[in-house]
Amino acid sequence: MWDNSTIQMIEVGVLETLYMTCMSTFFGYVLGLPFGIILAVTDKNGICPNRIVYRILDVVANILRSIPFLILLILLIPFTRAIVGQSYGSSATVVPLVIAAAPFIARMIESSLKEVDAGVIEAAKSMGAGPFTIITKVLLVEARTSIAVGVTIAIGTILGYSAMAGTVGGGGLGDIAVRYGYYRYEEDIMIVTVVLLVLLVQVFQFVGMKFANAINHK
Amino acid sequence: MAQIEISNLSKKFDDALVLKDINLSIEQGEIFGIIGMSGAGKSTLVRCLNYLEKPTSGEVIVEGEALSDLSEQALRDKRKSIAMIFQHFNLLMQKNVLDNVAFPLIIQGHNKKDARQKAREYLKEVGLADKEKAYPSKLSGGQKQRVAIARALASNPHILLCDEATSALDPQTTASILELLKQINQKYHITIVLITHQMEVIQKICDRVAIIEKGNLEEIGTVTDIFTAPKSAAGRRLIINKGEAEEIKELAEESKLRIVFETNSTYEPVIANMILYLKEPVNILYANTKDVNGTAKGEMILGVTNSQKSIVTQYLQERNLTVSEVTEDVG
Repeated sequence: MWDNSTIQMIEVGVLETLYMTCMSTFFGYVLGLPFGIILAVTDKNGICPNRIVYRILDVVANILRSIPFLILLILLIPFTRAIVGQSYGSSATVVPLVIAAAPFIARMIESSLKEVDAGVIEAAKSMGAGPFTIITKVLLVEARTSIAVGVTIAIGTILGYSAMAGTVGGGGLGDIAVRYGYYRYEEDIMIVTVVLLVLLVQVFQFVGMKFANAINHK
Repeated sequence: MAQIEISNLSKKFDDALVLKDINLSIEQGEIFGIIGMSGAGKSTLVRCLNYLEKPTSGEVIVEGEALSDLSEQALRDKRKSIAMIFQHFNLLMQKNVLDNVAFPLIIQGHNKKDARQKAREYLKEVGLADKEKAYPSKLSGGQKQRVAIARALASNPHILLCDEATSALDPQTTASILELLKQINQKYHITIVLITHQMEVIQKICDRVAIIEKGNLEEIGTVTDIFTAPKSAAGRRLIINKGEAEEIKELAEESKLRIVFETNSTYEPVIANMILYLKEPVNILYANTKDVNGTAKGEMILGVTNSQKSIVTQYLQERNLTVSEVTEDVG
């Protein structure tokens, strides 16, 4: 059973999982970072308070975060097909992963930015800094350690979601675990894939935290 | 026209009126103190000077421009000439000392290289040239405030606002920071507006002082005048500091008189002669000399009986000493 094709299949699974995780994290931040910044600055204690904008984004984030991922995956099938051209495989899984991850990432960005000392923001204002300068040169810089910790958490969560997408033909290690381990009772394959998933999360967590500490001067 | 004109300024937070009809003018080049207990509204007042807080009514006119007339962009430009330092320093924790000092220049659109070069000069000015690579978390409070002062100087301001700049520092460090502020005032002719709750700070470096209490401007004058003869109750409370006031209060004398004199004003042993003249003892409750803006001032509180009070007052006033009765509102 542990022939070359099985090993090759697991190798492909690992690569697909990495591909989905990295692509989804990247695009998740492409959407989630501005989303989170707007949440943080339009909050009533933010630098450009705007009740209406904040309320709308707040509700959107809450709705998207409360839909279970599996349901989102199915709901988004037409949308995924329109973007990727097919609704199965690892590229297709990236679409719902990004939609699920973005509001979660936005919330983490929002909370990281809100941790920045109000006194430092006030100092920047007193020097004549405008909102854009405060965001790019104060908020994002001062919050970078907290943001890096957030990226580590996001990667772990997205990796877990990507495995869940396996149940509906999403590709990657989760897909293998479900098809071989669960449907065919090949428990050894299931165990190997699960161990690999655990290892990947460990590696990302370790590297992420090392990086976050390395850039912290506080 | 004065460099900073505040007219009929009031500020409300929700329903609380924290500043009531403040009128004040601050001249170019002076060190102007604003003193009050915490909650008096002084931090709000200083933030009205660069519109970090917008007054509810009234005007702030800085160098001829009413801040309320300025657009957001024009206000930001105006702030570049009004630097500010803070009680908790407010340095960027993730940038090193050099980049902190260069920061206002970066905001003003200078390139990084020029900004750093200028920043180095100002670091030298505050005596921290060797710390440029250090991060703020590795510095002491006094060093952090020096970095903040260098950062304030970097934007080449005309006015420096100090919000409780020495309140988080120990007495020695406070003295050295005040010394530095005085040097800056003299060297660059920067007007300094200094907010504090510590009378010692005012005495040490300010030319003039305004006393505010519960949002009201109680008294304004030269530091020497206010120290010698405070007119308002708030002024008297601030001149006699809390610990001393407590001790004095406990002494059950009938009347207490405070006299102020220049230590070198007379060679006559006034009190001794007065006692000989009265042929009755008076009780010296408290005596001290204080450095008020560079001159030593003597201060003494006498306990006298009610029958002695008018004769003692007259005797001392004839010898050109300032005498005022210390009433129970002290402390």
